[in-house]
This record gives sequence, C-alpha cells and structure tokens, in this order.
Amino acid sequence: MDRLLGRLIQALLPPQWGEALLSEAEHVEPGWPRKRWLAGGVIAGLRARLKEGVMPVRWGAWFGIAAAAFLVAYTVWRYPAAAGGGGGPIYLSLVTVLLLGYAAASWWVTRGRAGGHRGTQFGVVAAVVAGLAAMPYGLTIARVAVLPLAFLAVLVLLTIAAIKAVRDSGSPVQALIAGGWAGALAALGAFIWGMAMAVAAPQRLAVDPSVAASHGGADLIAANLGEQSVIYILGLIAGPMLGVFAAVIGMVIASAKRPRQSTMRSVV
Amino acid sequence: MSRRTSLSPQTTAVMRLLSEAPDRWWHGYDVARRTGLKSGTLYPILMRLAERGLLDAEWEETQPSGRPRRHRYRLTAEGLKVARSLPEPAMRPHRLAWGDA
Repeated sequence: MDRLLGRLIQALLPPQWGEALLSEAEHVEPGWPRKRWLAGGVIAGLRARLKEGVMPVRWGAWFGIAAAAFLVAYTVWRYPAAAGGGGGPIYLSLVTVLLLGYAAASWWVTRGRAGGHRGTQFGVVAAVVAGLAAMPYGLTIARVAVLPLAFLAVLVLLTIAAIKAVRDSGSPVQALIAGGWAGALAALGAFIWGMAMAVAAPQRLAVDPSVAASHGGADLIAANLGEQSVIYILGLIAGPMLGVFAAVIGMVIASAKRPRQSTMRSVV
Repeated sequence: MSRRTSLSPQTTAVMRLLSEAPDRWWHGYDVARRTGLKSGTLYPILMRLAERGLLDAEWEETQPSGRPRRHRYRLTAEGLKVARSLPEPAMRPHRLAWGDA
C-alpha cells in the first residue's frame, strides 16, 4: 500500500517535491499516520496536476468536440433525411465551422490563461447543468420549470467564473475569456447530451408542427430530428455569447464589491 | 482593477508559524503537526510559496542514520515581510495534528 502511494506521488508531483514528501514520510510514525501522510501526498499531486492541468483540459475539450462531430456524422448517416431539407447543407457547414472554431479556441484558452482555468472549473459544472436541461426528455417533461432554472443556474456559474478570473488576474480580458470559455463548455455539454439522447430515441422527440405538415412516414422522425438538432447547433453560438454577457455582469459585480480587508497582492 | 487577493487561512497559518522562528529550518511534518494541516493541503501551499519566492526550500546537509535526508523550509526575507504584514488571526487553527491527542 505504502509503495503504491509512493509511486503515485512520484508520478503526480514534480520530482523535487515528490522526493521531499516521500523522505518526510520516513519520519512519520509507521502505520496509519504514515499512510495518511502518503495519501495526502497523492491528493497534493492531484491538486498540482489539476492546477497546471493544461493538457487534460485541452484533451478533454477535444474529446468532447470529437464526440459532437461523431454525433453529427452518425445522425447524417443513420437518418439521411435529418440533413436532407433545404437548410441541411447550411447547418452542416455551420456546425463544422463551429466545432473547428471550438477546437482552436480550446487550444488557445488552455495555454496557461487565468481565465481559461476559471472558465474550465465553472464551465464543466455549467455543462452538466445545461446538458441535463437540454436533453429532449427533460424539456418535454418539465419544460416550464426546468428550463428557466437551468438557464439561471448556467448564467450564475458563468458570472462566478468571470468574477473569480478578474479577481485572480485583475484583468477584464481574463474575465471575458473565463465567461466565454465556460459558456462554450456549457453549450458543448448541451450539444453532446441533447444530441445523444435525440439520436438514441428520435421517436420520443416532440414533433415540430412544421415537420409534421411537410413529411410523413419514416421521414417524419428524421426530419424532426434535423429540426431539433438546429437548436443545439445554434446553442454553440449562443453559449459563448451568453458567457461574454455574464462576464460583463461579473466585472461590474467584481468592481463594485471589493475585498474588505486585505490590500496584499496575490501571493498565493 | 487592482490585483487583490487575501491569503487563505491555511497559508496564513503556515506563514505565521514559520515567521515565529525566522532563522529556523522547518521540516514538513513539523509544520503539519504544528498547524494541524494534512500533507495534501500543506504541500501545495509550500510549493506555491516557494514558487513565489516567499519560501526557501533545501535538502538537509547531513543524513540522519537509517533515514533519508529531509527537505526543510524557511521564509525568505520577502516571505518574512509578507508574514509580518498579516492581520491578527480571527481564529487560531483548532484541529489537533496527528499524534497530539
């Protein structure tokens, strides 16, 4: 057990600090106190990795973007009529450009920017909230109650990300990055979860009246799926825009509500 | 907007302890016992303080018999200045360290 924890510490912490923690462990009483010391070292390593966590975040974002692209490709392959209408090529082009833009943005944002760090922290939570709210069955079952609450929750999360970013860095630009990035993650979460649920069981989607009027039979489900997908595609634009809006609110709040006591520069 | 952030209570506790005997070199376990912090909290603080130039960290010169050399820590002049500018604590750390009970 101690050896396993030691290996994890060496893998997670910078070499000098891993060695420091392990050599210190030799001076801790054997048994549970030493195990607790080593387990704490693993936590310290995980924290250090998360703090610097540029690569995991970047790869995570790219994995999400790839998942979204896969869902689009699968929809077109499995339900050709979903992209068969007049708007099909336009929306397919739009979603391609947007996902490529998201990939480029995730590379840029995760290059050690304070706003990127805060945006990721709150954006992941916002993505879960937005994903759950955007799932077609959530909308169908409790449209009135869930959607405004989820929207409000996402807006609050994006605003907090911006406030934290501006307090970390003192830079309004970082607040905009945090808000925009968190909004992008929320939109990506909604896209993936909503599309996955819609593709898995398109017959359970509420039928759009315009689709019902112009389609029949097997094409009805596919065309309806295509109509619903547009919401998630447009969400990829709306998410970052909402984030920028939240960042402006966050900056106003941050400048109005200054820390009460300390005037110390950010040292830790 | 100015860049203002207060220190966390844990970081404050570490800096306050180290500033009590500024010339003394402290070991990680001693700091953990005296502040009541666990290693998972203490080491990220030590790493950040060292990164910001507020903490000197070095290996012991002599090796204790049968045990590896330890890392030891002391505030730098800048760290000491920061520690001495800290406001009085509203509440002292109340948790006992392991083995203190």
